[in-house]
Amino acid sequence: MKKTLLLFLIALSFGFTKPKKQYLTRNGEVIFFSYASAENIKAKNNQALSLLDVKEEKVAVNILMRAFEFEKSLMQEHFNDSYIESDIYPRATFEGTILNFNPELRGKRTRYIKGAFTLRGITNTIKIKADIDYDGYQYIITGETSIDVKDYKIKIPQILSSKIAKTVKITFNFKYDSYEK
Amino acid sequence: MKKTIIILVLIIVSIGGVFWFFSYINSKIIPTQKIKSTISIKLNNDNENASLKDLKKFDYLIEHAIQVKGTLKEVKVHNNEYTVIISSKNNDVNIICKLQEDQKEKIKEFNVGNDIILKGVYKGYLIEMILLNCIII
Repeated sequence: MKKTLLLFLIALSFGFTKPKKQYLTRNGEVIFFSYASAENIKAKNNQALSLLDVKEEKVAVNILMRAFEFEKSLMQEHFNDSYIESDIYPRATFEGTILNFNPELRGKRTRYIKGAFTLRGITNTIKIKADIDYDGYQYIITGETSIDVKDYKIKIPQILSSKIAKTVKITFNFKYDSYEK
Repeated sequence: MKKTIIILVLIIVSIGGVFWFFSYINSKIIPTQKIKSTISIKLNNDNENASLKDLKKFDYLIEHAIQVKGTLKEVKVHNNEYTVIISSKNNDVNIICKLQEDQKEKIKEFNVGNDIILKGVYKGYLIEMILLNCIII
């Protein structure tokens, strides 16, 4: 009887510690930073949606471009109307695979995530170095990458082209909770 | 004499222009308190809930302030920034609102399950409508 109970508890504990299949965040943080000689351009978006499928070892991110917040309204206006054209391309997306993920491993590890990043309707394959932290309940994925402005045909006026960096640094922080469909 | 007046006027206009230009390029985001709501949505109204399932038709409201009444479902804090999710009573419709900086203390007076009215600037949708710079009414 004792042996049966012990086996049951072991089985139960495995049930609790094994990661669930899918994890979701609606409040993923994405920050972009672009160096400019006159004034650096920085914006933050705290509403990125991301789904982490630990069984498939895949991650998907959906970012609403108009949800980027700038300190100055004119910068925000230029970003949406001139550079990103948010009316035509309202979202940026990323779909990727975590390489050598090992989802059951607890603690922090660094992994590459390789996938397709789509911005302004243009898709490019990118490889991002990210830190993945798992405490048994939640996953936290953080990291940074940079993208070339020309790869996504972002139009910078001739007069400003020498004053704005050709690459944009993107940092992200996603804290996932388990998700039941 | 006439020439002096013209030069003086030109100088004043130029200084005014420079001030206007710098205040324009440095202007901050307008606080939501100063923006009038374009529409008001009640999440516990079945007809409105049904219409909120087709979010594309709300595209005309992007960058407009809208007022939403619903039930406080969740408050998330990240880096001292507050985001709330308000929902309908039966939980089938959610709206995400990021609170304006000056609303942090006010939200602490609310508990999950309380009715709440918020006004924020509509930015579009992913799964749910997303409002930024939300204030509690």
